[in-house]
Amino acid sequence: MKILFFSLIAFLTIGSSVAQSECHMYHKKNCDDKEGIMMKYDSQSKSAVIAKGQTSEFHLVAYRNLDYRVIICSDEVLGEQVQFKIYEKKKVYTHNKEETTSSEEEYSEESSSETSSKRSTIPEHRIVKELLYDNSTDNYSNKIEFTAETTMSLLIEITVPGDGGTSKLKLREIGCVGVLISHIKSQPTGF
Amino acid sequence: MKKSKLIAIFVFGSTIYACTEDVKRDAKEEAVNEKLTTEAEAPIKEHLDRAYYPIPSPEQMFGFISDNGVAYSNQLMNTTDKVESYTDPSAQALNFGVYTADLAYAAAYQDIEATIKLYKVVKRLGSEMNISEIMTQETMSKMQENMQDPDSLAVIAGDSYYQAVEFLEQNGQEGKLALMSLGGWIESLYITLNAIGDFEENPKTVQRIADQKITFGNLYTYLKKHEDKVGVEGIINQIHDVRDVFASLREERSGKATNTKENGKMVFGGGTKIAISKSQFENLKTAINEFRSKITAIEA
Repeated sequence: MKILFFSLIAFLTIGSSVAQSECHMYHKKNCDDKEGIMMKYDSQSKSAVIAKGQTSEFHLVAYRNLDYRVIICSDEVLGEQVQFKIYEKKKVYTHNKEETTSSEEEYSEESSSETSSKRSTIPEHRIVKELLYDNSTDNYSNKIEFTAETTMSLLIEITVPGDGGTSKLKLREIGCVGVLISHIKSQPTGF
Repeated sequence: MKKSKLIAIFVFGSTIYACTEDVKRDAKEEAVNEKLTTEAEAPIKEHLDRAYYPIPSPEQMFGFISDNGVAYSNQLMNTTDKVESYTDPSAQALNFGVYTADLAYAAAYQDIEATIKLYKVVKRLGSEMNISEIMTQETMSKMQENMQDPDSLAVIAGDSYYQAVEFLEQNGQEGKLALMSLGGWIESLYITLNAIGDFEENPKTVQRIADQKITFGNLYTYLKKHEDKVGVEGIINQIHDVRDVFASLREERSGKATNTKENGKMVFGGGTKIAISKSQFENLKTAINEFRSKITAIEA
């Protein structure tokens, strides 16, 4: 029995580190960026281990006057319908008595740049997120190209479908997800 | 008969006892199993539960200012001979960021001599932080082969930053990563603020500086997430002035977030414009210069 326990532990531990190291630079190796115009690699790209049924957050700064391409790629084990939504994070100053509109959702962040400063008279605010894009309404496309009119603080929410699960053998249910971001200076279009 | 009855009772009793013990043992083992399984899963959960706050690398800022006609000045970079004095791990991590930013700056402006010198400094400091394996002789040779190709030079210089980020993440050194990111970001802002001179001189670059409020927000959140790591809390306490200036920058909402297609291109509109006045620009410059001076100071 003991042998079984320790085999299980070793399996899980080694498996976990293998899974994590296998995800190292996963986005560079697996997110196909051959279609479309050539763009520069953006250092905000990232890979992570995600479990079925889990939602992970990814924060991104999109500068104005740049065109961005975001490609999400994932291990087969996670299925084909990885959902991703792009939100804009916004501050709503509470002293303005602004109401949250129907398209906005409260967003809780551990600490923003302006909270809890002891020395500043910083206005109170909440962070809300407003939905800009949802790939489930775009045939679960794994790629989007966009331009930001102003510099934007974006939140990419990635959800892997499936039962969050009570199974102990999480190894069966986890895989790599890569977010490859590239950018290029916006080119004016038209005559 | 009596004897055989006794034996039967003993056997039955032993069986019951053994079964009970088995059940108890099984329950105990199950509990241990549960505990160990949970412990084994902990690193996975810890990894999974993260929210990611990637910080744009310094090279993006230098690509931007170079495209917008901001002149180069090698006087703005941290002197390379100071590298020997950074012996404290936190100072090393901060200045690793500073020097990788300088490397990206020199490469973006095709200062080949400075690029090579800084690459060696970054490699040396990386070695002291045990991340030298990412900067191989092969990369150095590749850099020398591509001296005449400024784009390749910038890519190679940028790669050392990305590789360091990946290495520190992979090895669970998020505290050092937070300090390195801060050092790199401060240096890129220090160079930009001091290279453009007057507030009126380059409105596009001034706007990019104001937009750093968003990047700072993410960076600060990342620092706070890792404030329990060595050196991070101390540095958070030193960055109040920078934080206060950014907090004072007004954010003008230009309406609800929109998503439209213009000429086949998706455009995210609405958004928030961050405004900066001349005095705020000067205040930010002072705060950044003072903070940068502290982190690059030679250790006593």
